[in-house]
Amino acid sequence: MNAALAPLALNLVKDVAEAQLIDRSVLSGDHSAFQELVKRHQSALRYSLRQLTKWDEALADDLAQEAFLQAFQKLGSFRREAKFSSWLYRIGYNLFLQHCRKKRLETEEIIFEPADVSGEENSDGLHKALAAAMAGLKPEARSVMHLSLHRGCTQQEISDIMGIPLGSVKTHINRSRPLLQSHMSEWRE
Amino acid sequence: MNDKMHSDNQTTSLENLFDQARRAEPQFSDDTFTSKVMAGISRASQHSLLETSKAFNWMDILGVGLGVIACFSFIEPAQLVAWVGNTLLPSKLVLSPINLLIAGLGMGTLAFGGWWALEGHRRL
Repeated sequence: MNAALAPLALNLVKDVAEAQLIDRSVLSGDHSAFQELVKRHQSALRYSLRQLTKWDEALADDLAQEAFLQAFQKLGSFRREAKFSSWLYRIGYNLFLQHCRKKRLETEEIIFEPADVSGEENSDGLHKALAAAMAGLKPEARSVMHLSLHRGCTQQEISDIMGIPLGSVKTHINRSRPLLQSHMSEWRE
Repeated sequence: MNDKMHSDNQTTSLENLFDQARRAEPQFSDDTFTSKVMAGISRASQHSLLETSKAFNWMDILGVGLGVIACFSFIEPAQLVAWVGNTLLPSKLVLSPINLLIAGLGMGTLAFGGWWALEGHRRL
């Protein structure tokens, strides 16, 4: 596309519905349509991945970039029953799991200990404190709790997004809630 | 009873914390992020085209190899060489203006075809 026309094309896609943007990306390989999808979803995905990676900003952004790249390549296989944001989250979560497995292979163990964030009383501190508390959980439980508590998803939705049985979702929630409560007790008091 | 109330309070408190976090979720700037993603997509597309092109080249080589094997299994090499010598190679060569013109046109077409293919590959 002509460089002078690129900003105009971006303005044109700003008000387009998500389904149309996906169609344009898949059917005609329209990069400006996919670029608009990235703009709309980048913040939420990056935040979710920061929550999963103990607020490691660089790692979370790398995973998010890779997730969007894979999303572009697999967009043709995206089934419209699910929300695009849920599908995107699943790609990002799978990349996070791959990272955990790779790290385990390289270092034999993954150390996810809650970080000390006492003293940070603002909302930024709260986000980091929650991410640090979540780091005490196993990766799958961490994602379940993030979807449940941060994103307000139902247990069935979590099961669908992550592709795990409903029973596992319930187990993770029941086991992880007390752990999170104990990690966050200092923040509450 | 007291334990249950304590547990309910804790749950509510945890829900409140996450609710507070949800309401104050930061909106990250996409200044460089989106452009990095789009650059990555362009790079991946080019890489994919290159890989496809390489795959086609290998298929060409494989096809030629299989053709040669099939040819040699059906035709005696000496017979093949004799047939090529008798039918394809000219027994005499006449240099005339018309022949030179045809040869020049042929070479020119081949050169243009080569240049066009290279330019097309570079544009990809």
